[in-house]
Amino acid sequence: MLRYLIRRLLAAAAILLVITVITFVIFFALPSDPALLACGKTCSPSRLAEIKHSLGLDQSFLTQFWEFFKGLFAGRDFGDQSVRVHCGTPCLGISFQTDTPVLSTLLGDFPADLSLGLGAAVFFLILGVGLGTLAAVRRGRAADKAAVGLALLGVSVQIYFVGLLLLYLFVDKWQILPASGYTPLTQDPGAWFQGLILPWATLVIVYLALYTRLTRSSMLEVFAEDYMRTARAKGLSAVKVVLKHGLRAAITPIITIFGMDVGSLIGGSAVITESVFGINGIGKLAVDSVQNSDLPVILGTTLFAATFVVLANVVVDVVYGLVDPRVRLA
Amino acid sequence: MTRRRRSIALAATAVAIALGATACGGSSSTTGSGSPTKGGTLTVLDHADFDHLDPQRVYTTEGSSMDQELVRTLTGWDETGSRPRLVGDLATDTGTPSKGDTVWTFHLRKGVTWQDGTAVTAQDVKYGVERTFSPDINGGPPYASQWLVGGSSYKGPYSGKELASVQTPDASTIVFHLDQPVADFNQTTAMPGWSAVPKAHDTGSTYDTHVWSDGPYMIKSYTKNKELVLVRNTAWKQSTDPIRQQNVDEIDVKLGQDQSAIDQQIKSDAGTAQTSIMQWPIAGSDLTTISGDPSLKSRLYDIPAPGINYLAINTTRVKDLKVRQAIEDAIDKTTVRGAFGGSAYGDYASTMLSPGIGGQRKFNLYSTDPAGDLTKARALMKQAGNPRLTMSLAVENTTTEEHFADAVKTSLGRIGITVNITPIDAANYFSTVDNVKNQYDLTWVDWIADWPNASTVLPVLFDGRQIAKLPQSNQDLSYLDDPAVNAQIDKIAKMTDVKQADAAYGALDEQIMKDAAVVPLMYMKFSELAGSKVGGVIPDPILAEPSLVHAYVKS
Repeated sequence: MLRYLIRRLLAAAAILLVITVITFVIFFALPSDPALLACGKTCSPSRLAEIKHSLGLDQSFLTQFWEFFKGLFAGRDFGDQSVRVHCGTPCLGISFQTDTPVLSTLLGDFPADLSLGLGAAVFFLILGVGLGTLAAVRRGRAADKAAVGLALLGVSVQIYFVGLLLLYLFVDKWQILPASGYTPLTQDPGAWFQGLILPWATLVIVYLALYTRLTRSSMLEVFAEDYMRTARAKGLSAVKVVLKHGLRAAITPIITIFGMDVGSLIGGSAVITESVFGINGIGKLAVDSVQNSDLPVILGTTLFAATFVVLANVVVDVVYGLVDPRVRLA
Repeated sequence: MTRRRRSIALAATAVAIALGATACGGSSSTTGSGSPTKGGTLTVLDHADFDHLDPQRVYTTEGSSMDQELVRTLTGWDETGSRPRLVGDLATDTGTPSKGDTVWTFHLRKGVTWQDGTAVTAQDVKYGVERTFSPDINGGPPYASQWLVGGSSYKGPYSGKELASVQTPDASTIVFHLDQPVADFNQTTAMPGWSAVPKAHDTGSTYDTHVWSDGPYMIKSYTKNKELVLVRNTAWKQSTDPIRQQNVDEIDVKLGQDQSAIDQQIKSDAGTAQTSIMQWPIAGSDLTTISGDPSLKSRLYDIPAPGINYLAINTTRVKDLKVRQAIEDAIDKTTVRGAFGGSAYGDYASTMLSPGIGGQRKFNLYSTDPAGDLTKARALMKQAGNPRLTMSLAVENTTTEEHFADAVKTSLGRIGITVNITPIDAANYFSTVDNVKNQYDLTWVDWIADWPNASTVLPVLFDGRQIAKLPQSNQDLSYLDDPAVNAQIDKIAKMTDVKQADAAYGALDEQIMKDAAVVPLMYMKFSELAGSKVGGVIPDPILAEPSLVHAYVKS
């Protein structure tokens, strides 16, 4: 198990390195110039050159990449003229726009995505698996059709539509909930919960279909297996048959998808949800940084999101080994 | 000023589709209405963070407006009357020019202190101005580097060197030596960059979040893109400050909420919305409903911007004067304004200088009917030989400007000109079109004056000699390089009498319009909404912001 884990982590590190290089390359291909944006209006060529130099943009691609890579492990110092700013390990650079270290900005926005992603994930997993199991058990009957139909409806509507509709109904019209948004859990648990109900609901409505259908089809496959017939013939209770024997075997593909969804959600992929509900998360940060050609932040958000997805995959693989006795981790 | 902000502001105010809502006269409740109450918290809702709060780097109207609470400048504007009045802020008066307006002397008031009680000295002001020259302190206006003697080779105070053309003979006197006469230099010194920064508390490129205050409020905490909290600066004294008051205990600026959500929140006037105000204009999609709602009139602020929304005609590509004049007459400004949101957006323009800019002369050389004069346009095209022309039009890649481009295309189609539209990404629009490598026949532009004088409009937009000097940030998008115009600009710059200069600028505006280098479209208005318990808001027509210097919250 340990050897397996180490191999997977090394592979993860390799993937992250490749992602870093690709992001760097894409950025260099972009036509916009962050030095020009920083320079402002009435930018003389000499001033532009000075700013390019202070941002380190006049160095070659390889030099810039190497400086960044070194900084990840050893920290970096910025500013050759004014007060030196030290960026500690792992240094993801200093934002061209806000002059603050990227990592601290990411960590500041992270709790919002963590709350949003994990909260929604718990709900859509439980509801999705529950509805899917119900549909599988009651196959062909009204409950099955209702569950699948409902799920399909949920995935067909768009996040921004659902989100705005919920906001209109619950916040503006019926005034049941206060304005949505993120309040830190440590600051005010009540407000944290209330502010996240609608964003969670939106994500659940959209993700539910996938888990419902996946669970249903996976369970149906398992039900067709001989050992399930044996279990029923032996007289085990329906609950035990379905949950202990059926679900446990069917869960593997669900875990795979769930891992990737959670990884990407907490890494900041819920951009539209953040935007609709006014949550300042990493998704919004990523979009803004692209618009501002803020390379350090673009790199930082990409790496951050990629790290979580990759790590989530590692966790998923490990969980396989624990849950499904048929899988032997080499 | 306000490059990025301009384009965002226009996209925001202009997404409104419906026409016809007249902007309400929405006057402010200025300080005339009873004495302000002390205490409480004023909430400011902004959909985006400030570009900078560092006074030498800020170049947007929101940032400059918020900086007024933290940072005092040499001169400032008293806007409590019917017109803004220039007064001394850190200085005792509006300065003394000498040697033909090339030397300006200011004496500082006694008793002005920093938030830690130490005195603000002339050396602090000198240090602040010198910071502008460092490449780490980038983004601000160019006037210091343009005008101060030795500015082109000075690299800022971090190199250990000082700028000799800024002298401080004693702790309360500062003298600026300019390399050309600038009659309205004391209006430049009202900009945030002409303020003091204490060397001991300068944190260089991170000063945005650590601004040391000599104003009525100081920074308690500032998390970028999240929240800025200002609290009373107990060291500030009302007796030394003719511009500001200190009424509320705290100013809480919340950043990052969607503008439409902010509009709805303040409109609903529930909870903290009652003591909230916005700095960015009402989103275009909400503008018509809000400005047409009589119940909101008392808390709606319509502030005219000292600026102009216009179409630049590239005179090096559209060389025939008759064709350019035909374009002036052919453009249907009613559909153009409709694209930007209708009459709530502003009045039709026929001059480059807007009302409120010193020197504005009212004239209209072309069609008096805003829908255009097609007959005259066609006649002009006939005189030009009825050419069938194709022209490129650059606009921002937003819905509003797509509609605008269509309006222009239709108008010019009527006189035989085929328009090819080039939409450019809004965030990079100005850095793209300002680059001489990217030239178009017609370019959409908006411009807000840095201070309300024609000197910040006409020279920068029409002096052709700049094109070679600033190839990446050329503002002369008509590519006009007329020796007569350039000579006139130089002549006016030497005039020491502001009234004489104003009159000459008005004449220059008309001269340029005769050349049909630009089609002025609309003068702009920005509308902001406040909660019902917010008082003392003064419309600031110089920044086109609701000024908070006298703001208070009613209990």
